[in-house]
Amino acid sequence: MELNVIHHESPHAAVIQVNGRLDGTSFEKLVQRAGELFATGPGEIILDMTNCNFMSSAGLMSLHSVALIVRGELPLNTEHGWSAFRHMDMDKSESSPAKLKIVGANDKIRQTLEMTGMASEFDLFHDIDLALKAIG
Amino acid sequence: MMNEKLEVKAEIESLDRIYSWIEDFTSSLGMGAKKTYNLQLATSELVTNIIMHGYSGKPGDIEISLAQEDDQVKVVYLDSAPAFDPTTIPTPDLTLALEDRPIGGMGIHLVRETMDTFQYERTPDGKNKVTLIMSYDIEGKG
Repeated sequence: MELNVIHHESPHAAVIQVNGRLDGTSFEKLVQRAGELFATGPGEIILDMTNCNFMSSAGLMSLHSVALIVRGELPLNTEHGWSAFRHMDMDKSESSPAKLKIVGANDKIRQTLEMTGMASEFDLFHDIDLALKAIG
Repeated sequence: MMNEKLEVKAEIESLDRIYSWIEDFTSSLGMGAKKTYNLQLATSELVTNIIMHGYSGKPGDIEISLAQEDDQVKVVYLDSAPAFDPTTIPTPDLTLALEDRPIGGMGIHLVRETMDTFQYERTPDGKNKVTLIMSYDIEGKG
C-alpha cells in the first residue's frame, strides 16, 4: 500500500489517498500518517480510497482508529503496534461527533462496511469534490 | 476437480503471495470477482489471526489447501500454533457507535458472513485445522 497526501487550502483539508491493499501489512501505516497530520494543525482529514482495491478487518481497524483520531479521541502513539489497538480504552463524547469522510470506496469495501454495521459511521462520498464541498 | 497447496511462513508479508495464489486458482475456475474477493478476504482474516494471535509473532508455518468440486471451493488452513478454535468467537455487537466499539474483532465475523461453512478441528498430530467452504456460480457470474 502507498499513501499520498494532498493538502487543500480552501477548505482547509488534508486528503490521504490510500493506494493498494489496506490489510494486516499496512493498517498501522495509515493510522500513523493520519495521526501525524492531525498533530500538525487544524483542518479536516479525508480518506480517498478510490485506488484502494482490498480492505480486511485490519483495514477496518485503521478506519475506526483514524475516525477517532480526527475526533481527538484516540492517542496518537502507535509504537506498541497491534496489541495497543486491541486493548485501547476510548473516551466517550457527549455530543454527536463529526464523521470521517471517505471518498471512492468501491462496492467490496462498502460491502465490508455494511457487513460490520459501520457504513453509517462514516460519511461516504463518490468523489473528492463532493467531500470538500461538504466541509464548506 | 482442482487441488492446490501452498506453504508459507507465518509472516504478515506472506499475505501478498497468498492473494496472488488464490487469484490464479479462481481465475482458472472462471470464478467471478466478488467471490474471489470474499475468498481472499476470509483467508486474510484467518491467516492474520494465525500469525498475530496463534503464533503471536513467533516463527511458524501455515499450510493452505484449495480444492474445487462442482460449484464449491474448499479451503483448509493448517498451523502448529497452540490450540485455538476461532469458530467459538462470539458475533460482535454490530449496533454500537464507533466510540462505543472495541477497535478490531471483526475478522471472524467477516469469515462467517462470506463463507457457507466454517469449521475447526484439532488434528491427531496436534495442529489447528480450519475448513471453509464457499459455493460459487460455475458460469462465472459470482
